Amino acid sequence: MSLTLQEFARAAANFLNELPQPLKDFILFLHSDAFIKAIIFPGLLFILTFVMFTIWFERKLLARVMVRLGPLHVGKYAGLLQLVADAVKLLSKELIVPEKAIKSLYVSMPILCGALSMLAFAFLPLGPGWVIYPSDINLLLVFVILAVTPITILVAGWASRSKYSFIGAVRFAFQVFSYEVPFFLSIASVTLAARSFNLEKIVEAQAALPFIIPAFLGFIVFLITTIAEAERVPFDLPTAEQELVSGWQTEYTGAYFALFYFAAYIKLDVIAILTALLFLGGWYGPSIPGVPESILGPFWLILKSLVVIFLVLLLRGVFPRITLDKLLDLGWRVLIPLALLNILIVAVLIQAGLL
Amino acid sequence: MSVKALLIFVVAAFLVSLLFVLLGLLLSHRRAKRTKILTFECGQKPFEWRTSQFPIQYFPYLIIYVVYAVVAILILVSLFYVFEVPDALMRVTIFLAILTFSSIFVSINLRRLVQKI
Repeated sequence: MSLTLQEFARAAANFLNELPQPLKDFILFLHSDAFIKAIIFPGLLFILTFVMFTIWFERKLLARVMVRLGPLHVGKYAGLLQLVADAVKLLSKELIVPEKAIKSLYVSMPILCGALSMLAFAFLPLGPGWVIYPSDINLLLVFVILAVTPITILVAGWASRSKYSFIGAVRFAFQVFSYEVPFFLSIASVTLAARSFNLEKIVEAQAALPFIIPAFLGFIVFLITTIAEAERVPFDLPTAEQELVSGWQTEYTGAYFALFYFAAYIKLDVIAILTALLFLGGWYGPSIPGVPESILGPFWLILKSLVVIFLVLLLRGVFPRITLDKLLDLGWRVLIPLALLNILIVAVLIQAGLL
Repeated sequence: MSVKALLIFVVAAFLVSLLFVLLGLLLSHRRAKRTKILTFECGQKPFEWRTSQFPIQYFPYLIIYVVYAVVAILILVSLFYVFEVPDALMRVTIFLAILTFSSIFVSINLRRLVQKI
């Protein structure tokens, strides 16, 4: 018995019509554009797989830097399922609320932190049209979410009422002070060059020339500030394991700790994708024959963001941690003047008609 | 249409975060012990934690960064101005040049900051 595609489609439509109305609506909802965008591709499942891949990649890469093998035994190939095993282990740990902690804040902050950091993906376009919520001020919305997420971390460190958590939270507050302004200024140069706050228009403006070439200083400032934003080495002062047990997350165990861990890697991924969108030309790349445009765009973007992730992760194996006063000095003495100079260069280039 | 997708995504993000905690509650065992709920103190007897302590060591830096935050807002406003009136770019460039060179001048000349007030 052979069944052509059209006959199959007709049979499926007939089957759907015979179903009761609520079930039919539900199946149609699962097919809708909104559901697929929110749950499957730029949404939830993509984020979870990307984060799992990032963590696995970090462990493997750091192991290679230190001439080790890294995760090996769990999973068929190269310890790919190590993360699942880790998640099960973390979730089966006891959830402890210290007696001195402010319980309502202590319990709610990890959930808020995980959800808020995931929210940034709603405004990041991963290809032409591949965005959950298209808007004219996408970049500002992403910036707002990246600026709000640290507040949950500060409150979490304060609410656990431990010495180490509190010192970590205060360090984190100083770190937020030092990176937020240069971060915004380096974004401002790109928006001036593209004359828009819409991420899709910013990428379209880079069709001929990625902004890394005219705004190279801005790229360097952006990369440094985003590494501080994601609390990666050399800027992992708030969670310095050797000095403060684990910084602001000292008192957190089990699922709460898993949520913070997860949120940190989501932030890293958001930052890598943002770098690729703003400076590395987004979804533009050489075309491959036989591959449609709508798949090629996200492919190039994810490849570029993986290069950025590689660079950021490699720093952890190479550099030691810097001290707080050096970070504060670096922020206003080097990064802010460089970012301002970069905006000036972009403005002069626009005056000269080169951009 | 896109608002619907955003709503689904927001609900899903919160649900996944809640799911983590729920799974943690379901999978974890519980054996109450006095030492478990004490504040962490590197194996020693816990010290008191005072609510009033806040390091004021790097306070001058905070003043500098608040000033630069105002500068950043000025730059944001001038960006919107340039988007609306493209001819204004010349004036904004002069403004940026003044800001840039004064910030470079300050960062070179203000060698040693007072660490404590």
